[in-house]
Amino acid sequence: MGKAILFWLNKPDGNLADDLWTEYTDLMGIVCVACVVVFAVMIWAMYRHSTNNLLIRRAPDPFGPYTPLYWLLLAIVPCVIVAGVAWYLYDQRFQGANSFAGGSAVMGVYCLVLTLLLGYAAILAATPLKFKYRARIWV
Amino acid sequence: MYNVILAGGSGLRVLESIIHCCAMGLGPRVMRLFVIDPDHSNGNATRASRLVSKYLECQKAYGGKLGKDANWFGTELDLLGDPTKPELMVWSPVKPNDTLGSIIDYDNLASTNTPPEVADLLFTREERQVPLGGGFRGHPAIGAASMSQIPFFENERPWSEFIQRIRGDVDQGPSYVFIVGSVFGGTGASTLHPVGRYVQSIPERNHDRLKIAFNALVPYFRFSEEKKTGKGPSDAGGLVARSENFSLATKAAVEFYAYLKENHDWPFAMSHWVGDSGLMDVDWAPHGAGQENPAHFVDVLSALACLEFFAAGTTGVADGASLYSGPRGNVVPPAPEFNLLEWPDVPLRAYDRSTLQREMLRFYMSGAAHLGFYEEVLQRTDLDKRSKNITWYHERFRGPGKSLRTAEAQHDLKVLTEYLEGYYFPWWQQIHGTQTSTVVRLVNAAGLVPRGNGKYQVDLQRLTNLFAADRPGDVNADHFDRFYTDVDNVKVDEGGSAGAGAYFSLLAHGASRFIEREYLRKAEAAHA
Repeated sequence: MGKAILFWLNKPDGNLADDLWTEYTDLMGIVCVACVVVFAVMIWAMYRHSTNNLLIRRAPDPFGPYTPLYWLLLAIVPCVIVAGVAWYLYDQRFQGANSFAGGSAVMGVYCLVLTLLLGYAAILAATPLKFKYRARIWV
Repeated sequence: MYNVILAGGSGLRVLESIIHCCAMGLGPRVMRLFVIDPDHSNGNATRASRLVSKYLECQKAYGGKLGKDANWFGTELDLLGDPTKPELMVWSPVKPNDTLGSIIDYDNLASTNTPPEVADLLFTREERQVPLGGGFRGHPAIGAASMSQIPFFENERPWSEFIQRIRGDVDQGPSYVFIVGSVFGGTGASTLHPVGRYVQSIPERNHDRLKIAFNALVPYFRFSEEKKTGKGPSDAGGLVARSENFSLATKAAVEFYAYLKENHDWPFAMSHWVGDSGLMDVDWAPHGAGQENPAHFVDVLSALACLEFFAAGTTGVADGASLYSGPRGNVVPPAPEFNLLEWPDVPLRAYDRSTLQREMLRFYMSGAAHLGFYEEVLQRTDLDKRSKNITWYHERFRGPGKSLRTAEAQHDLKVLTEYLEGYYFPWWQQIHGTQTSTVVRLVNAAGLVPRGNGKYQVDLQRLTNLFAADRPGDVNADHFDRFYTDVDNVKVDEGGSAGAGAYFSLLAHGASRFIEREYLRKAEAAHA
């Protein structure tokens, strides 16, 4: 499963045991999926809460900053978590092997992108009609 | 075809209410207006004339352009004048320097079969000699003599136009004439019957197709000077209207009409009698520009009587019937000396009360939203660039030829703003703000907010109780967000197709949704 999720990932060191590497990628695949889903749901929930509280009362209000979109920045958190966990677990399991810092960072960025995509799709679905085009700045 | 003849200052104020009702979509498709006032510089006429001009601008911009669900500004006005220069024409049977003596040719009566002593018997020297350019000064005897001269004006505008069109109307179908005037002053009292009788004689055939009704205003105001001093306008001298005579004049008029009716000299299919036992104080002005009284709820009731006559004719009413109404007996007024006027007190015979109230509320709410919010949005110079910020604007008015930032659209929006802030909401404010012994609760007066220079707008925090007094928790800035959302939820194919008409129609549809949820369903839930 891990190979399917982290499809580009190759062993950074040819001396690593195949079964340990497979176990590692499976675990990291689960961590990635869990982080992406949890944070995409969080983005959706927080965005929805924010848009519900963003009321139009005066004429300048529709032209103010559209702050609910800032919740997309939450996608940085799974990026950091996944990159950190990937590096830590690798370091624990494969002591003395080649460094995996670059691979960990790529996994983090991968989760960032996935969370952003999933979160933004959820945002588009959750946006009230009054802010329809404000949320579509990247569409 | 529908004709309104409005006599004197009271008639002109009723005209204002009729125009506002037409703006709210309650009028017929076309309505002919004929104003009679000998007071050449009457302040009421000036105000009514300005209102009619503004209505015509709105009619041109919005009439028939709001889709099938809103007939706002839908009534076309036939002003009997030059069609290329439409403006309210005020006809006077007298020239500014005419006197009753000159009208009846008093100086030459001796050479006729009528001795001058007959005129001496009927009119005092003062009545014969006072210049009539300022009106009939509360003396219907002078007015009636002047009005008897109408046949001499048959070939002059506006009578020539009016006669020709009435004859054309009855050839094609029914024609309705509604005459409005007070019976306690000069002009109205001297106009109702003479004009009604003359109009009845206009058709050469199909007489039965012409239906005439009148609305008689009985006392509803008094001059404030008299309230303070207990005396009449003492420093004026000469012939002037005095409110101490109003009741007597009304009684005399009613007895005279009863006599005419008994003697089959009665051209009217029906009549309405409207007044207020609580008298509004108005500044005394004998005539001229100073005679500009505020709007009163009797104007609204009279306007509705007129429009109901147009909508339903005499259906369900006995021939020659007189209609009147009083306060409800089962409601306790706020104080013993006060009357209370709420929506259930508005006498209606043809309109469905809830439909009428809802339609008026829809216009009121849309106007309030325009003045309180959307006007400012539409004035932004960067609106087209930032159209994505406003969903309804982006979906309807984006692109060349569709923008509401064009000079034409901005002109139409300005006209609407001027009508709402300068005429419509001040009218409601006057109706609620000038009564001395009647509490009027047709709209939430606390929500009418001054804009300066006599202009008014509506506090949008009261959007959920525009037609009722404030209740705890009802005043909230968040209400507008729900209205805004309702406007966004209006389908793109609803309402008018383009321009300011489509915009105002959009507000109308948004208001319908808001009213359905915030007023009707909540009222149902409260009753359940």
